[in-house]
Amino acid sequence: MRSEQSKIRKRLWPAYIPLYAWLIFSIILFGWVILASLSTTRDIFTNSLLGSGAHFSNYIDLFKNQGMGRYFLNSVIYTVASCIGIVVVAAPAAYILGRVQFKGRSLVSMMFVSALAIPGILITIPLFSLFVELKLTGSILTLILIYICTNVPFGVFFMTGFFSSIPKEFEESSAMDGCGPIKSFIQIILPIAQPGLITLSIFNFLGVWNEYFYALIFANDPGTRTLALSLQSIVYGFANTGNYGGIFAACMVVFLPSFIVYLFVSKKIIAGITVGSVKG
Amino acid sequence: MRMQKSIIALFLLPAVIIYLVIFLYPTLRTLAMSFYDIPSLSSKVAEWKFVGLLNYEDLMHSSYFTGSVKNVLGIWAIGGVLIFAFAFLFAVILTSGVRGKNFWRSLIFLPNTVSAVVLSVVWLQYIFNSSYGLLTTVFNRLGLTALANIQWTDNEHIYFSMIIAFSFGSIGYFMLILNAGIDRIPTDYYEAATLEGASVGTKFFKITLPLLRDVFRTTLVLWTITAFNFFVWSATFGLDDPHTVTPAFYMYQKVFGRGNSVYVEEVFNVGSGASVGILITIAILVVSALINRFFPKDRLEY
Repeated sequence: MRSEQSKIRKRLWPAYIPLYAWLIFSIILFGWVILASLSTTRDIFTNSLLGSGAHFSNYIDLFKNQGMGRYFLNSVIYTVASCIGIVVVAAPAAYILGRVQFKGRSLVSMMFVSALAIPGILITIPLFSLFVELKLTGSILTLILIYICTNVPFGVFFMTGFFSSIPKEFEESSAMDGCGPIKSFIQIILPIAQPGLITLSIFNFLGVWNEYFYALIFANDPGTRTLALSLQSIVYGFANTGNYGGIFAACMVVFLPSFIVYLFVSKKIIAGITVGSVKG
Repeated sequence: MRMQKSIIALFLLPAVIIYLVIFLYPTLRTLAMSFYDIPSLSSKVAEWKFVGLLNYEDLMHSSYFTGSVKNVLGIWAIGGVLIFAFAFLFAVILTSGVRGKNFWRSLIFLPNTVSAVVLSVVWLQYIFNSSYGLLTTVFNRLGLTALANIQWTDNEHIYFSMIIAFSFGSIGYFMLILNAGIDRIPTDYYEAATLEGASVGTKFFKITLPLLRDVFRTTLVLWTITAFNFFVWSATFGLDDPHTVTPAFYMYQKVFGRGNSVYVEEVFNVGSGASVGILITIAILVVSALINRFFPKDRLEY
């Protein structure tokens, strides 16, 4: 049997060609950009990366003179505040939809599913006017609100299935102990649903950290700009002045945080996508 | 489970209010706006002028808009073929019993987790760069000077370069969904086919593809939604180049572009931007319905 299996494995060798091609391509990209981010523009153009040694000055310049620290902090605030806000709004609603029988439940569920299909482009014009009227533009709060609101439908959709799979004995026993519904939700149900909440927050982290469209419309001035948007304006400036080492250093600053998170949680992300998608 | 009405309302209310204020109201308002001439983003309803279908008619006569529609259809078709070809290839490979499945899946999905701005800059400034870029260097090493001299980001090539770069960043997601679909097909089918001496190709076309029809339909609809809303890469890779403008980007430039070069001579009208949004949504609904028609729900049970 074992020799049979190894025979099958041996016949599989052509399957590895595209996989290794992808791997080599990824390593070249990643490796070259890291080395270029530590090189001078001269070294890059003469095809001799690190020819004059490693220069961390590209990175130092970004934080010292380009204000990247400020944008980095902005993006951290946007991401953390949104991730918390989405869970705070979506979890209670998903809990009710996943576990409680009431009139109009399917209608409310349908609402959130239909919101998933509404493109951002369709709602931005009225939203922008609304925020102008409320005098909310130009503040960090605007984009946080936008990110929380636009991600609530997916949060509700994702968590509903999670809550419905928890056995109902948990609330029954906590009710016998004299816990009210709010207390039993916070103290009993939320801790059980923690894995789902974490997966949802990982999705939201990556989504918000890399988000571009809403950031461009609602937070495109120096005080509120996100890291990704600042990257674009920094690259534009550097391309004009010919600071190519700086361009790739700026890329690394945006790329590394999401990459480090991905290294630790890629399994959870992949499981989350495959579970949610195949049901459709 | 039963619960007091007041508690149900308390738990549901914030999410429902968000739905009504952030999704339902703006959608209906955009629909209404598309029938009006609206001079600015902060115009009061009293300043709107009803023009019926004129906004839509004007779009049909605008060569920028029809050009952007052609661009997006090309992205949908060419990008779709590229993405699905590679997504299928990797999904089949990863379900054929190769070692290190989890590692390969994570690696192929990795570009999907990278900011579009970073991916665009790396493709523009490294891979496609004409003096030290990856393609130029590799082709020069191989002695293929004609290929090495292609200017990948000039007027002639930037559209296709953008589709290639964008597709690279999207393969992983569709690969994961197809992969999960193939994993659900019972292995006995393949074992029986192998015993009968079926080749890899026969198994793919006679077992995998027919049984994957439902999953394929879903991914095709997802791709249509993604492609028709194509916006980010026009901004980060195309950088206002008219060859990469899509309807969504055209709408952005018209409404939010704050006096961008090309559109200065067109009269500013928010209603026209709203009608672009409505047309995109209608196009998505129509194409999704067509896809559902071509791939009706599977009667096969397994």
